[in-house]
Amino acid sequence: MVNLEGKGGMKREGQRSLLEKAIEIILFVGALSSIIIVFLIIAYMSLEAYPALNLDFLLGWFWDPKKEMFGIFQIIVSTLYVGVGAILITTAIGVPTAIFLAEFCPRNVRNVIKPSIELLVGIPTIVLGFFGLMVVIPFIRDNFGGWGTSVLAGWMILAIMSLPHVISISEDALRAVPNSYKEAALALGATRWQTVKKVLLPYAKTGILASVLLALGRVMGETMAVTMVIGNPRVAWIPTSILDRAKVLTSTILLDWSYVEIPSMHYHSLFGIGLVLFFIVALIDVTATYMVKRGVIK
Amino acid sequence: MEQTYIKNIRHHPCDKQKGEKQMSWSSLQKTFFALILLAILVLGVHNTWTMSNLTSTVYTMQSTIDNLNSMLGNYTQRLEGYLTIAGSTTVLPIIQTCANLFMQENPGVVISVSGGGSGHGISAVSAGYINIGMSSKNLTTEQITDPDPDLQPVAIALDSVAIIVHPTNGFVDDLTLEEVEMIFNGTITDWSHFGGSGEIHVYTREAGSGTLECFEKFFMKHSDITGAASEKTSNGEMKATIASDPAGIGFLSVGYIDETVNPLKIDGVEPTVANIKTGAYKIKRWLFLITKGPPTKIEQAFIDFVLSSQGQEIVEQQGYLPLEWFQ
Repeated sequence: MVNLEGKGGMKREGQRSLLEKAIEIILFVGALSSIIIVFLIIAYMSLEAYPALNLDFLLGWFWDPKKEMFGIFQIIVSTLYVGVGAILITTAIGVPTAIFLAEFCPRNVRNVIKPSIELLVGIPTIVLGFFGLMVVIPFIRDNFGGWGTSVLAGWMILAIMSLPHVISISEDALRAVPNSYKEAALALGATRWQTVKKVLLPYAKTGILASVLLALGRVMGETMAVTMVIGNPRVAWIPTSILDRAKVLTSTILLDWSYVEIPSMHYHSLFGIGLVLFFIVALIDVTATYMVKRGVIK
Repeated sequence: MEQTYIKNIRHHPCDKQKGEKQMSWSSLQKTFFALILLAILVLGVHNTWTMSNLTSTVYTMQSTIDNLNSMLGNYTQRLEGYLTIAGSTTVLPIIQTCANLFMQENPGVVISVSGGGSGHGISAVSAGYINIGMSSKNLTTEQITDPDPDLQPVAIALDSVAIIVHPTNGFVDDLTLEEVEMIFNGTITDWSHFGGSGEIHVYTREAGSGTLECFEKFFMKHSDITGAASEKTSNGEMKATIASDPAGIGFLSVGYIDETVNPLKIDGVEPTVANIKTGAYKIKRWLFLITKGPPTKIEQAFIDFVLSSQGQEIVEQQGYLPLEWFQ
C-alpha cells in the first residue's frame, strides 16, 4: 500500500512538476521576450544606421537632405540646449514644490495639490503641443517679439511635461529620510527650514538628482509637443537666443520620415539620429539609476 | 488484490478525468501556448529583417479576400470590405467627404482616410501598407527617383497653390513671381521692403509635400527656399500658422483657403477658381489617386465614385477644380 501510494503520488508529482515546468517556461519566455525586443530594436537600429555612422555625420555642421548633407552636430547641440534649459526650469519649480509637499504642506492642501500634479501626467503630449501652439506661442510673440515658435516655448512646454515626475520622485526621496534623523535635528533645536537644509536635502540629494536626470532623458526623447512649438527651421542651426527657433533630434526624424526614400543615405542618417538619441537618453538613464542605487546603499 | 486496486484506481472515472485528464490537458495547453508564443517570437525575429514581407502577406490576404468578395458580389451586388487611403493633405478633404458618402451608400464598406503627405502616400501604397495613395505630385516627376512601375495613378481633380499672408497684413496685396522668389530665398527679409515693418516670417512645407513641389516649380525657378524658413507638415498646420502670425507668409493649396488667411494676387491675378479655370492664374497641378497594380473591385468602385458627377461636385464644393473643366 505504501508503495502504491508512493507510486501514485510520484505520478502526480511528475504531472505537477510538468505543469510547474510549463509555467516556468511561460514566465521565462515572457521575461526573455522583453530582453529580446530591446536587443532586436538596438540591433535593427544599429544595422540600419551603420552606413551613416561616421565623423561627418556626428560632427558635420549642416543637415540639408536636399543637398545630401547629413551633419547633426548643430541638431545635437540644439537638443541639449532645449532639454537642459527645460530641466533647469523644472528643477527650479519642482524641487521647492516637493520640499513644500513633503515638509510644510497641511494635509488638506496636499489633498488638492497632489492629485492636480498627478493629473498633469495624464495630459497627452499632443494636447500640450496644441496648448503651446494656441496659447504659449502667441503669448511669446506678443510680449517678447520674434516668431513665437522658439526655444523658450519648447522649454515651457517640456517643463510642464516633466514637472510631475520631478515632483513625485523628489517628494518620495524626501519622505524616505528616516524620521529619527529629522527628530534628532529638531531635538537639537534646529528650525524646520534648518532641518530641511541640513538634514533632509543632503540625505535626499541623490534621489532628487536622479529624478531630474530621468526627467532630462524624458524631455530629450519627447517628440510631438516639441515639434509643434520649436519652429523647425528648414536647415538646422544652433539657436543664439531663447527666442530663436531650433530643430531637435526628434523633430528632425518626425519631419523627414514621411518623405524619406528607402533605402538611401538620408534614411540611414535618420536611423543614425535615432541611435544617437537612444545613446544620449540611455546614458542619462543609467547615470540616474546608478545614483539611485548608490543613494540606497548609503 | 493490490493489482485490482491499482486497476480500480486507474480506471476510476473521477480520478482519471479530474486528475490525469485535467492535469495533462492544462499543461498541454500551456506548453502549446508557450510554443505559439515562441513561434510568434521567432516569426517576429525573422520578420524584423524583412518587415515588408509580413505586410505584403497581409496585403495579399486582404486582396484575396477582396477578390472573393467581388466574386460573391456578382451574386449579391453588394460591396464589402476595408479600404485604407493615405497621403497628400491637399487631396485629403475631397477623399474624406467622398469616403463618407461612399460608406453611406455601401454600408458594408469601411474606409479609413489619413494624411501624411504625397511622398508618404506614394511610398505607402508602393509598400502595400495601404490600398490607395493620394498624391498631389505626378509619379513621373524627377523628384521621385525610382517610381514603382506597378503603381497606377488616376487623375481625379486639379488644384492650385496660393501665396498667403495674415489678414491684417496691409502692406502687400500683389506680388510678382520674382518678389515671391526673393522673399522665399531669403533676399528680402523685412516687410519694410513693402512699406511695412518687422521681420518676414517665412513658412515652408516638409520636403515630401506635393504643395511644396508645385510651389517650387512655379516660384523658385532659380534658387532654393531659405534655410531659415520654418517647416510645417500639412496644409492645415500651414493655414493655422499663417492665421495666427501677423508677420508670416506661406503657401497653401487653394482648397484650404478661407477668411482666416489672405491669398495674394500674383502679377495682378487673384488665385480664384475662375481665374485658374481661364488660365489667367497659371499655377495648377493634377491630383491623383494611386493603386498598386490594377485596382480591386472595391478600389475601382471608390475611384469611379470620385470620378462620377457626384464626386466631382464634391471636388468643386471643397474649392478644387473638377476634371471636366480642363478636358
